[in-house]
Amino acid sequence: MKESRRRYLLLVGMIIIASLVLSGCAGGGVSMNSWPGVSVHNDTIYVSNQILYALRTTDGTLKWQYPEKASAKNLIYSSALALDDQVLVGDYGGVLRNINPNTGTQAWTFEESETRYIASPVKAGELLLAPSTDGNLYALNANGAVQWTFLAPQAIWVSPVSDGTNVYLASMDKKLYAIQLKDGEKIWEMDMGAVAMVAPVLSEDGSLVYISTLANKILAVNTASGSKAWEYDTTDTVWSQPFLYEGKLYFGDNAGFVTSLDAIKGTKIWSADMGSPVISGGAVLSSGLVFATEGGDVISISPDGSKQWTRTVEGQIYSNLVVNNDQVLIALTKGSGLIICFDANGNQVWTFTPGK
Amino acid sequence: MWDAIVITPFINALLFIYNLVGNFGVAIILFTIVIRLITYPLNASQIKSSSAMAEMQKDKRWIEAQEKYKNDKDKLAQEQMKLYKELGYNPFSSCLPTLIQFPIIIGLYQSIIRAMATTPMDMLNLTRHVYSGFLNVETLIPLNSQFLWMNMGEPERLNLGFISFGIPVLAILVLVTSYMQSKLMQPPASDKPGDQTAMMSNMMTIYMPFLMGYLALTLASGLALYFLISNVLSIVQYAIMGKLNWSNLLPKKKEQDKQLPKPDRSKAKK
Repeated sequence: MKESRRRYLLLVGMIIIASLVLSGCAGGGVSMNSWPGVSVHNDTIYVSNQILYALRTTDGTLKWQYPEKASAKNLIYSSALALDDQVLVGDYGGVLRNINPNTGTQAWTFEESETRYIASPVKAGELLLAPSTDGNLYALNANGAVQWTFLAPQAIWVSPVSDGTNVYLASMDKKLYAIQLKDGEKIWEMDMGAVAMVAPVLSEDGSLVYISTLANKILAVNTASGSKAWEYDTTDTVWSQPFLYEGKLYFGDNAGFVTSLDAIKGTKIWSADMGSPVISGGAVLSSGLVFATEGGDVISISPDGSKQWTRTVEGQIYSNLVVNNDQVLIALTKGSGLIICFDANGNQVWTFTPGK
Repeated sequence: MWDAIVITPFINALLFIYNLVGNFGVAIILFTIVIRLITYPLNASQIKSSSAMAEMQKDKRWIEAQEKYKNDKDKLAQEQMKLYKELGYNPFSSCLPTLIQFPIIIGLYQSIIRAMATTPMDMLNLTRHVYSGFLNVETLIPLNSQFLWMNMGEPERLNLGFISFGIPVLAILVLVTSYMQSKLMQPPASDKPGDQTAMMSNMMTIYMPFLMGYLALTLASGLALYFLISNVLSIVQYAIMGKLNWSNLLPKKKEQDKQLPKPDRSKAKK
């Protein structure tokens, strides 16, 4: 009888282990992951990493978190859209939540998306634009009521950008769309040749929209016509969000290079090797540009491309760097903390590690 | 190391098939078939060994040894080894193919998950797994993950207009085929009352289909499709080798029924 019981326990144990292995391998449950999203508004930093943390900019202490515990169905990774009176964030359960920035309580939800939100919502004029992987760009008013939707043939993984009149949106169908902000009507579409994994960027005068694609290209597209102004061949794929600074376009690539382009002509000004893939988007501090490598090096570069200082953090860096009050916020993946704040000279100001 | 040897080649093979057929669901089916064909000899060897083992357990000397040395494990092991030698059976011949297959099955499973890439992190990792000279990332991504009514990256439900909830068709099929697979491959039950091996086997037949059904219900439908195709192919292989026990699917008469004389219905009618 003892032998029988032992075998029974062994069998039950095997089944439990099998189920854990299978569900663990599958990335189901909370093990499904991506990199954290970071945004900042007024005196609050918002970090999305399964749940949404609201931190004080002064010392990185926790103001509130939403929800209290991560739910496997509603993981939050995309950056929150933070405004004066509301915080908008989408989750992997296809729910867009409006949260009170003072209390961290939910004001309303928008649940029409059939699938998850990977890209962050943006504000354009009076509208809140929520790009969903169900292919819809939902335009909502401040109360969460739909004003119009634009349906792309495939999922939307990156945020749109708007000049206040039109919206420029990249979809996984490899196309860039220009849409009217007032009613969501399509103005033009442009074949990019490959998907874009980062959001488009508008030029300072609004005449060009820049976008990087998995075909190792940076494209500059005329906003008026949708025609290509120029293209630049990158060393490797670009996952790092390009940004503009003093007429130059800066971005990192998967080969570990940071490149500066003339934003009008698309010609290379300089390229510097960071030694490890640069996936996160860079930022601008008073001391110069700052980029981070996947391996955990935070590197300050002068506008002419020479390295100024390097700090190494424990963890991997994929999230776009965010600047607030001349301090850079660096979210970590598999790191010793969730977010680290450095000043313009590379001194660590504070770090935040979520409680268990 | 594991990624370089197993996962990356598997992902590239899967994406190569996808590149040919243009549909991720079809690619999963074909990829599973290809892997099953490659591992066919290993499976066949395992099936033969299991059958030989089942036959040997019916041998009079085996049964006698079990009874005689039931309280002396060492002696029992010695007698079993002796019998293995006499009958020319190698006890490792059934577990070796399983051990070789295990990394292949895990690799197949993981490569399907990774190729589905449903988050930016997954997508980044996927692009890094693709052999740049062999496949072209810019044409491959995004993968067409729509197969019939299913999105291979999401749990499957069939929504019919007249029912308010989605029907988990794949999960039901996985449950049914897992049950059929366990039943059909089960060796004929021994007549010995309280046979622990038979009890274990029966428990597996009940629990495993529910476990597989639950996983198919909650995980991405691409994986559920893989479970289903694997089950069907296992049944087909057993059928080809003539090892299916169709009688196991039929309800068994109770032992008592066999022993009791049948009532004379002709008299009862009168």
